[in-house]
Amino acid sequence: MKILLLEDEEVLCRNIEKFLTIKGHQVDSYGDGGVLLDEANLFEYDFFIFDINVPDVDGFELLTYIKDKKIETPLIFISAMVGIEEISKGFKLGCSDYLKKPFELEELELRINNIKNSFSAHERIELPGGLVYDFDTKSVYKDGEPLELSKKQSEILYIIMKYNGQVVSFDTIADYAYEDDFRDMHTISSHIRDIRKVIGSETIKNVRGVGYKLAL
Amino acid sequence: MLEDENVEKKPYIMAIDDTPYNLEVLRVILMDTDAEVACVESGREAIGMIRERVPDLILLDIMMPEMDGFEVCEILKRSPETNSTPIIFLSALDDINSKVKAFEVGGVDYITKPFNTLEVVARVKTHLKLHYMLEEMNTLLRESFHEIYTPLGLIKSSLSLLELEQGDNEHLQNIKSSVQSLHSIYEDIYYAIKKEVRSYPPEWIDLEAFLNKRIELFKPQMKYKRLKCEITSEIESPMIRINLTELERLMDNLLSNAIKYANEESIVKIEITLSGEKIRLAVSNSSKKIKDPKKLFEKLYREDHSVMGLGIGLSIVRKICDKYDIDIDVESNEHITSFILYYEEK
Repeated sequence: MKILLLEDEEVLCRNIEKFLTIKGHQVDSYGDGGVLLDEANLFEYDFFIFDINVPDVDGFELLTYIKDKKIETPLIFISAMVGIEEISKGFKLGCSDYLKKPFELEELELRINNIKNSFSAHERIELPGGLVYDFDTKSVYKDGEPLELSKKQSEILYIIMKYNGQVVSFDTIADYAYEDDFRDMHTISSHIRDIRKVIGSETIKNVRGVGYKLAL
Repeated sequence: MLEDENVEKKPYIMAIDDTPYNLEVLRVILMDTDAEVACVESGREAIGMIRERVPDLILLDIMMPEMDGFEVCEILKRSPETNSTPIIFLSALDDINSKVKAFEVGGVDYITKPFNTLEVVARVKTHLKLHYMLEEMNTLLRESFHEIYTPLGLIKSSLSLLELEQGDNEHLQNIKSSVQSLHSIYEDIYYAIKKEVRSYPPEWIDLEAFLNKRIELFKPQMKYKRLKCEITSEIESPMIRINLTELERLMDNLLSNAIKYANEESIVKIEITLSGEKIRLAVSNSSKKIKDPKKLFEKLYREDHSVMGLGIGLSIVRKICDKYDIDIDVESNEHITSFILYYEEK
């Protein structure tokens, strides 16, 4: 992959660059957000790793700029700031992950791989019974024909698929599918019942008192 | 005049009261403190102004139409920008209930009307001073941790590269595991200092998945003592609702203790089972019998004085378990010692 790295701590920057290079990536690194903006072509990269606190233009500002340009490249923040506020701000702006300094380089690699897998490997998921789930259209296909799902059902199914076998809590589903509207667990579980009728009863599992997960 | 030399900037105080006369009285009184004073007649308007610029101290009337002082206080406490701003409540009510409630919602003090000039000035000065001291402590803490973590990060990343380039050896593993301990101790200290003032919101976490990931950090320590770690769960996706940082502090301490006291070449076992309605998590190692398990949780108590450690680890385990009503039990015989947690979703 082609990775763009922003880290103003010179030695750490070199270490990360060296490590990722050993791991077979091509890395361009900068220690200053302003210089990065001037020199790097943001459209060229497969992955961004940005420190938040850097001179001139900080990580948050850069992410805002990237999102404005409609660039959907995954971005991991690395930062020594330890406040919950920074983390939630990062996620609100749309970063893919957040790694607190000091971290293990292996951990960084692990997170990059996780994000890459969830980002690109799953254009489609094959489900039992010859069904296929397509992330682009957010629908389920049988023999190339989309199956009937309501808007809410599609949203709920999408978030469960997106979590790729990890547990999705009621809260997460509600936040995604209902935002600030009225919502309750019964509504969600009755939607799940209807979804199961369409895609088979074994594909979505209940997790005791918490939520649901994809079971393939 | 404020006799505090550390304060170079003029303190900014906001007084909130729906009666203009009261505000005028406060304005005159506060002239003695050399502060910049903003007077606001409604809670809603005050909140808007506070978001624009956060005061160093707020004087807040309880009885106001539309939005009373308690509500204003609760809104300010919810936001990270304003939750540490000291609020002194003002009220003609001299009943014990409203006084108690004023402190419960997070007020620092309570002044009854009619105002006595000397009293108001004395209280305002004291709370300003306290507020600045706390701010300074917080800044110092944040900056020192930031500065400690920078070299730690360099050591960690350089060690990984060294291992990649020259292969693994015993010295490298020792340095790695020491850095990991050091990091863990700093995280404990930070948590111990911050736990009262920072919010730690809970989320649903898959315990088994979390442990499988977390145990990676302890590989160097385990390698050094030739230990193996086995994680088993009889529950599929054992979910618990807890804050991630707190779960990390809790488990890191249990795991590092289990490793520290384990016999060489033994197995550290982590077992997740159901015990009635509760999730039971046992961390066991083979080690010599603990003489007095209850004493383990006393601060600074250490079983084996040859093992250096700060001893704050177990007291943190204790505090986090208390916070989430997690029962802890210690079982110890001649061969096996287990720390057992019982978690129940409320």
